[in-house]
Amino acid sequence: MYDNNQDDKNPRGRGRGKKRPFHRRKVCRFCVDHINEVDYKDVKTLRNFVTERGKIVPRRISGNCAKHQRLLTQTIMRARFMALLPYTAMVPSSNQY
Amino acid sequence: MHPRRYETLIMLAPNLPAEEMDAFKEKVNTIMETGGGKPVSFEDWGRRRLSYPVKKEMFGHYLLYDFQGSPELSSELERNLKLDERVFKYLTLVLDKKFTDEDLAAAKENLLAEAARREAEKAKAREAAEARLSEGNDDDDEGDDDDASGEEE
Repeated sequence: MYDNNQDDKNPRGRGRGKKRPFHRRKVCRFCVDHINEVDYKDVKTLRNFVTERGKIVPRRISGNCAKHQRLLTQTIMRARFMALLPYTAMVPSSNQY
Repeated sequence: MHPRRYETLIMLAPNLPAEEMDAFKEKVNTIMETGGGKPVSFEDWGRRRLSYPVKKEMFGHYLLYDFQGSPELSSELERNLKLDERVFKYLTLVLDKKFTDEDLAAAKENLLAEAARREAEKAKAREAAEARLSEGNDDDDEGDDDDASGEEE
């Protein structure tokens, strides 16, 4: 379930003992572009912030600021309600579930 | 009370006959008219694939209403949608809490301008594509001609 996180915490090779071996400052895309509204009908944009499974990409991965992450979450939930985005989706390549 | 700007997205059963669809649209329009609503825009998205089944259907027919109206109109519309068996889901958002007639006119103008701009962009893209295509064809034709003449010689 949290495969990605574990990879993040234990990158192979260098910096085993260090807590944060790799750090790059991520900037909120919405702040950069001065976007303060996201349309829940704009599925193409929302897809960028949702995993293949349909889960919302966490802030530490996407680099969004808190304000925009809240906005985005609200928007994604609306899109989900209207069946424009999935709540969960089967990944075609895996047979785990 | 100031009139507000609402946006309602309605998901209908996917396989409604055309008459039924028209009847539904007519019904919504009469509700809007009697409630004193003024449309900003209307979009018929047609049949779309759903991300998950709703009432055992994998498709839904979406209608998008963008309109100016009072809160009473919006609740009346939602009441009717709730009662209607053909409606699977609906979502109403308040886009603007103070949406005067002037704003309405401005919004309509904006939409028209945007549509025109998009149309112009499309036309430009098409022109560019055609130009590229015809250029490519010209090159090919010349090449063919050369080859042909070479064979003749």
